Amino acid sequence: MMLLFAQTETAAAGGLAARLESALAPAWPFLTASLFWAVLLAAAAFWILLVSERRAGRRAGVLLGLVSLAFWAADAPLVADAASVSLYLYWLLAGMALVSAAAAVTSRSPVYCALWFALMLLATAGLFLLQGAQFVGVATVAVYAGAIVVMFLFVLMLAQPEGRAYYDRISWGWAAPVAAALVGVGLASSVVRLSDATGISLRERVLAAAPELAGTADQRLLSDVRLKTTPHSGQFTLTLYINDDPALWSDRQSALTSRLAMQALEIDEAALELRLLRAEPLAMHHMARLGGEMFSVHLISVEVAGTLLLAALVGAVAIIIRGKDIPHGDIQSDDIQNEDTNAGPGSDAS
Amino acid sequence: MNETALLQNYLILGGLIFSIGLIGFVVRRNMIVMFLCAEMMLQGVSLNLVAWSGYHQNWGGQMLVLFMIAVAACEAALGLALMLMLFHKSETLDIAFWQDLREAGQPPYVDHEVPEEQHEDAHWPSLIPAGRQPTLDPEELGHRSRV
Repeated sequence: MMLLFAQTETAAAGGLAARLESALAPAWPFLTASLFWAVLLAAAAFWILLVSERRAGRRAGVLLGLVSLAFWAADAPLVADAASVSLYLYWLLAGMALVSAAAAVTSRSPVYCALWFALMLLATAGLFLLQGAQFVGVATVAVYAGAIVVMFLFVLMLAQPEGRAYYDRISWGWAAPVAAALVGVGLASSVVRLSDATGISLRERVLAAAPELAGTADQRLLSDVRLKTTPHSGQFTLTLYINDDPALWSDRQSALTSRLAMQALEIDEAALELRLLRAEPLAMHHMARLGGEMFSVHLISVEVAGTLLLAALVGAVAIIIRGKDIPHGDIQSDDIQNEDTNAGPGSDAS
Repeated sequence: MNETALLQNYLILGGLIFSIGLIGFVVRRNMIVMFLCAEMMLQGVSLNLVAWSGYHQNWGGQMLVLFMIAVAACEAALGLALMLMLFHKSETLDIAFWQDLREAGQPPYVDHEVPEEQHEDAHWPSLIPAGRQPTLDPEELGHRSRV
């Protein structure tokens, strides 16, 4: 499927442009009812899981969490296109990521937390691959899940080999989990409250305003709609991506001009080059292009990152060597106030 | 899948993972688990960046994710070294031990009740005994006379 890059100016007079302008009237931002209930129930599930000790309480929390996950997955369409394996993969990986993240946060054993976190990293690596970011996906597995999480587990084994401790089962009183759940709900709600300019509903509104762009049932004509707003000027540009299947049109130019009835239609041939960067997990030459970009445009950042790694390495070794001089387990909690630390403006405040 | 829909779903998922990490960071008291939740917040942001990179067909998002992975590795190394030093001093990974670093004028947080570990949760796996019962020396049962 090849894509044409089409652009229409809303300032131009014409039937189609006027109808499209009416379609861009602001609507309610994208927050469906199922997502709202999913976030609310998830907050309740988190509150239960974070404070409960008894096995029955935790089971109730897990059940509530699964119900909220079902609400979130209710947005997934039941019937997908033939070429939408990526759709199912997305929901599968996203569900796995959410369940693993929730389990990592609410587990009572820190080793289980680290393991659930590693599973979440695998899910996000799959999601990166789905977007065509091959190197980032593999780097997540190799560096994040393979090195950082392993380092966490090493330190856990050194510091807390017996597993659970009392501070893994309680929090800062009863208020902290409630406040955290509420803040989490508020943050999640404000994050998913996207502007209606990039919503799916925009495409449907455009199709409702201009039905001739719909095409037939098996060959959709309009594939994507994007809206770009110029700030402070009231001007905006609506970009329509049109499905150009050579089998669909006998005469490309006449079919388009007669069917769409647009006044000015500019076909950008250079936009066809965008195919090379499409989000495909098996896209060729991904690494070559990534390397070309990294070592030409971002060369200085790469060098700075390397220096940062060196500094972190030296710093970690310095901390450990300095730490060996301190006697083991000698200091009580009260001594921290009396300790002769470097004098600063805040040390004499108490 | 429609590109805009994919972008939207990725952004929502990144935001949800960030919120879950935030909840965990605020609520948990184990230093290492708190650090894990901070890394989870970074992962939510990485999801957002990769989604935008795919939407705009720009490498910039993925570049930033790579640098974030490098910075996260440095931060993990230094953070864990510091946590090990703190554990060396205090024998515990509880961050409430260090609450003398709180703001001046705040009352200290005291654990009112520490729940004991439930008996059914302390079940460790054990092997089924098999084979013959070895002949036991009753004198050696109390203490070992030799190693």
